Amino acid sequence: MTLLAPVWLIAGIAGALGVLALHFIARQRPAPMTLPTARFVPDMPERAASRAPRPTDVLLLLMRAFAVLLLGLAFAGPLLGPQRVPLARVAMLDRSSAVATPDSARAAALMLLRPGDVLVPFDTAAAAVHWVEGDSITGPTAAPADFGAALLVAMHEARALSPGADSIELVLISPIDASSWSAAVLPIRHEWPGRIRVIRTPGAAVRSTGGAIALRAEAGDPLAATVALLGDTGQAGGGPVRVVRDAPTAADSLWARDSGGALVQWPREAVATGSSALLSSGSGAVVARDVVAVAPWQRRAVAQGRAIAWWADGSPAAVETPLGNGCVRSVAVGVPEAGDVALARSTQRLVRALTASCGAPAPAGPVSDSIVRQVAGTGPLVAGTRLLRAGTTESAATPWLLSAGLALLLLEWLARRRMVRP
Amino acid sequence: MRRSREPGPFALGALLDALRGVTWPARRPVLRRGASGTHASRLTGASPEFTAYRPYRQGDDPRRLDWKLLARTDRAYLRITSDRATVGTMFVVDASASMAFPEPGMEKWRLATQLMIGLAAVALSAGDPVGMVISGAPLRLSPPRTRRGAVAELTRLLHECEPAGSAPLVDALGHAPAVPRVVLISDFLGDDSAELLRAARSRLASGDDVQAVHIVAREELDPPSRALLAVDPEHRTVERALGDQTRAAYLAAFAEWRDQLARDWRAAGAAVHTAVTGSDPAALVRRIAHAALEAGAERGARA
Repeated sequence: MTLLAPVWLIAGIAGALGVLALHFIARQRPAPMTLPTARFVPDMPERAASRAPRPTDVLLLLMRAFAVLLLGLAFAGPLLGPQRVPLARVAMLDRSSAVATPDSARAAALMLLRPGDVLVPFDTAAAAVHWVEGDSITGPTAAPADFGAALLVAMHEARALSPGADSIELVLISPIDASSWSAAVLPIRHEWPGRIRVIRTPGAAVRSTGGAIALRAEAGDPLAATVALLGDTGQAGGGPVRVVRDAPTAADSLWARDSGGALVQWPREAVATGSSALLSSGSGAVVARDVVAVAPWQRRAVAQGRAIAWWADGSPAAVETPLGNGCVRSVAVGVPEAGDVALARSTQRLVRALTASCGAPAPAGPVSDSIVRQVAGTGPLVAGTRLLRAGTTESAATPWLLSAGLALLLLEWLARRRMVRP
Repeated sequence: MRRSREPGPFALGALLDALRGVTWPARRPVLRRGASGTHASRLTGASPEFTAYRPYRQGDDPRRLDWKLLARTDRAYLRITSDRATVGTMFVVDASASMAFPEPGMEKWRLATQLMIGLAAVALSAGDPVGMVISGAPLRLSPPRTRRGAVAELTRLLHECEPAGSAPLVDALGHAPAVPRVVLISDFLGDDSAELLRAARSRLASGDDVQAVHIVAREELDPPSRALLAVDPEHRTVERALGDQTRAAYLAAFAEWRDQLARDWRAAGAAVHTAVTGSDPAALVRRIAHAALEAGAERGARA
């Protein structure tokens, strides 16, 4: 039996003990006895409290104590379910492109999982699978990982498992690549009251775009300086990413479609045409993945497509459109010609984010051990009862227990009336 | 009427046997003239017990003249002798509801009847007429008699009676014929205590002897220690909680009342005896008789 709110049962027991204690205090009309000299007894209230050597009115005591206990048990919400397992696991299995050895990750998951456990394979999306012996695990995907989404799904599944398990363990099988990390992960993690078992698998090699960015720009372009600082300069058409600062040509599109590269249209303001018309200038913030760059950017109108970077007000700052094997990316962030914005480190990170490969960001390497320790946390496993909440899970016995308790109180009232009546 | 519990014939016989030879003298010389008995009289009479000579005065009975002395000395003298008288005794027995305590044995009533029968037997053995008035409604009266079956008659009357109600004892005393000795057997818990004492004073002033036998139950002296609601049997509306907090005050108040009662009655000239249930009734009768004997001796010594 599991109690949704054990504190109510404790309160019921305390109440029953209180009733028992009250029955040791004989505060009632004592038994009458004929005494001719009664006139010499001082005239005091008849119902004086006195400590009785034995509990008075045993029948009433039993009815009252049982009624209080039943009401306490009813509010405690007992769950009369199937046999509980000592430990249930919810394993989050990273199947993103950041995993170097998907087979070893799957093997680790298979070693842990038992029938009844839940597997949460995740990349950018996470879905729960109730593990049955012999189930196969789907293979890796090319998508990046989103650890926050996996945590949310895993915690939800853990709550669903809690009525049938004494303890719940969350297991994370992942290299915990920096690309799967975001600022929202730790607040989500702190929603889980216990520790998380972290099994780190080897991460995929960091795919750098260094030497692969082909920039086509005029002399004196500030972005050229940024790319140069990144050390990724190359000849146009030679790498997986082509950044064009002027109008793209048909050859650029063909290149992107056939080679699977990313064609980044990042017009320089002096030559801005069409959709890149200047909207405003001044300081602003651009957010791309985990990069936030604040500078006097020139804000431009952007074309339709999947947003990959945003202004601070949420409007897209860069979009991506698939094209054949590759993609075309339009960046509507004007880099100031004057000043050293192009040389700033935040600008370099922004350029790195916007010149990533098509579709998914490249693995960025494992997060630090301190972050892993924060993810793992400390403390014991989470008790199943701790995850149960009265109201969210209803007890079928509660109405019956409430009815029995109220019926006992009614019987007690009738018995009391009968006793008082001469 | 339900018959009250009574001592069996053997118990009553044992009581009477235990009282054989006991005398219950009058506490003071009897003033009234009556049949010749065993008690000293304040009147001079015709008994052979010579006391003194007194010169004849006009109006004296010439039959009491000592004719021989007159013939020898030519002086008229009366021969004075002490008179011996009987002491008619009336028992006024309280049969109120408070005497039926404690239930179910009615120990107070039982002791009262035993004392009355014992004293009546002792008085009758000295030739004193004995009678009885039982309070209550109806009031039962048996006039003083000296015949042999008087005690049996009184016993029968007592056994036909069941203590109940709250009839005033002063009415019973008022119905008692004028006799030299009146014995009140009661717990004196009625509402007529002042009137009763006044009536007793009146009897005492007329020269009668009044003896009060105060019946007290052991349960009244030492009530149960558990908490209880004490209910007055004569006034059912009087209900008092008797427990740890009130017990000491009750005992003190009851003791003070008993002392005050004894003081008042003794101050009026009555003899007061306290009889506690559970005591030997024969011993109580002897104690009462002995107290009367001592009182007579003390009076004689003073004279």
